Amino acid sequence: MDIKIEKIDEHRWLIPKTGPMRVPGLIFSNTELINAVREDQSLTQVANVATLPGIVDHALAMPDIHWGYGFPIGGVAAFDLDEGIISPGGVGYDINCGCRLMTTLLQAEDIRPLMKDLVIALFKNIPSGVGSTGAIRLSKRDEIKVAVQGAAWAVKKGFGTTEDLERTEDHGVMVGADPSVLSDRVIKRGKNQLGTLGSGNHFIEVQVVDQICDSKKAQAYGLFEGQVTVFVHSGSRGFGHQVCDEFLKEMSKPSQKVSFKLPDRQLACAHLKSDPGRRYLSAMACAANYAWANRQILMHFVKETFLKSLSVNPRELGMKLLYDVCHNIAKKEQHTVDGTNVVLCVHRKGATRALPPGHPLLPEIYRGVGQPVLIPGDMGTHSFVLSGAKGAMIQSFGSSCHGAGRVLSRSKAVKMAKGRAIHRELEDKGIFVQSRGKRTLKEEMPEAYKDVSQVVEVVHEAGLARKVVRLRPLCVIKG
Amino acid sequence: MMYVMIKGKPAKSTKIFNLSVEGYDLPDLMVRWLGEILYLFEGEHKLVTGVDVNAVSHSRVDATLETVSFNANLHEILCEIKAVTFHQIEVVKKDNRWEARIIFDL
Repeated sequence: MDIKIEKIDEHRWLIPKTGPMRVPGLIFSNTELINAVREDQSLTQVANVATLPGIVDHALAMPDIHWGYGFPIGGVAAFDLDEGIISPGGVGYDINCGCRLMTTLLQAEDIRPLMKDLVIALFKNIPSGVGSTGAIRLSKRDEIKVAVQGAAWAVKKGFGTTEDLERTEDHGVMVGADPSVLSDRVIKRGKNQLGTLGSGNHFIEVQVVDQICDSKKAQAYGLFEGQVTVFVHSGSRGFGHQVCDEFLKEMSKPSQKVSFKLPDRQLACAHLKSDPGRRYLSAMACAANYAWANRQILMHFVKETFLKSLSVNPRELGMKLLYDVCHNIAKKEQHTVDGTNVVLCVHRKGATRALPPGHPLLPEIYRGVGQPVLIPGDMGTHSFVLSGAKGAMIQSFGSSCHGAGRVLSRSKAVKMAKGRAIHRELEDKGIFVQSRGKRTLKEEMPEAYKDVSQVVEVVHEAGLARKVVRLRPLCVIKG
Repeated sequence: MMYVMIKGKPAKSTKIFNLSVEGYDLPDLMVRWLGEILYLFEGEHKLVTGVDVNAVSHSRVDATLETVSFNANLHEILCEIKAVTFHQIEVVKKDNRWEARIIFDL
């Protein structure tokens, strides 16, 4: 497909409905970012998503959009429950990849002399890397409980408190999880990976709040300038990956083929009301719950490491969960379309839910200010906390961006980094890094990503979510 | 695919077993075949060191595999393959030889 785009305004671009597209495409971007988007296949992918049955309103793309499997990363698409489809590629291999941000009572200046020791301790205590396994070995019975109970299972086992569940999207559990649809391979892959970080772009990052953009909301979130915060970015590990892989294969079979022509076989999907569609939703919920349990446990390990490494007590540390968001998920949600309230299946692949003030799904503590929207940047620059805004409910099914978005493939990044000592470049900026894989730092170097400040600015100006604080990295561990 | 993921050739084979994969066309067969190899690493922590194809058609492969167990002390992971994709996939016969183009999601 030859993709033409039209500028609507400074932050929105339209892919007009043409050919097999059932709806137009709408891209949140700016002039500079949109030029990078034209260079990969992501616009074609947005147009392809727009051809899927039951899609409502627009096929959407956030400003961190880049090329993905079938659906672009940074893509949002909502489907009618009767006519619409569910696509594993529209969720992603890492089901409920997401992040959580913890606040502390510590000032960055007070712990700066201990930063190197802290990052070494985090790297030692938190299992990371390709195929990493951890200290938690699940029996099949327990794994099934994790798949059903999500973060609550971890809390029951002593990893955190019930207050954490209030501050987690969907209270850290997706209903409808049915472990009977899980294969032996899924169970096998999830058995030893709970409480592990993973690899690639997964990380744990210690930061300082270096700019307050909205002081009232910052106060409501418990954020202050100079404060130490911690991001945890991880997902459902091999468990979720196996679920996605198996259902993609099943939905690709000729016998399962849907009654319309797919422009890309990687958009393999099934009608929401079909048997494979229902089973995928159940399996996806299991994987989402696994991921929430995983991040809950990782947070506990981070807290333990801080207490020991910094020789502080829990009251002095004051570590609290601000919020946990997922950015690879499909959920049934209520939205208003052409003035009518409808329940839709919203796919977010590399996109974050962004509920505005007053939304009933928000915990009481945030109902006055809106949902915290956590946007990690690359490891050399900034991350942001935003708050969900009304514009998201009107324009993007309550969605926002999820990060900086890659501009370089991993292999191109490695080539560009040849001869460079990325860890030393970061140390020169005052950022200490530990990583497991030799190539990881090169693959994840700052130039591999879009400028997250620009991405966030688009979201802010478009009214999807509003900037609250900016965070600067102090130390990072990667798999 | 192994050479994309892992550095160096492992010293000894420790296990031999048969693997059969079916697909509904050649690209699908290729993706499923490589997907099984990837699962052996991701799910069973085994590296494939040798493949003897016993029978192949447009919809099925039967092969005997040699594998070793992955050992982090011996094997360096160069990069993680997240998925075998269909993107721009080609499995064609050129001048009496079969050629395939596969894009891995890293």
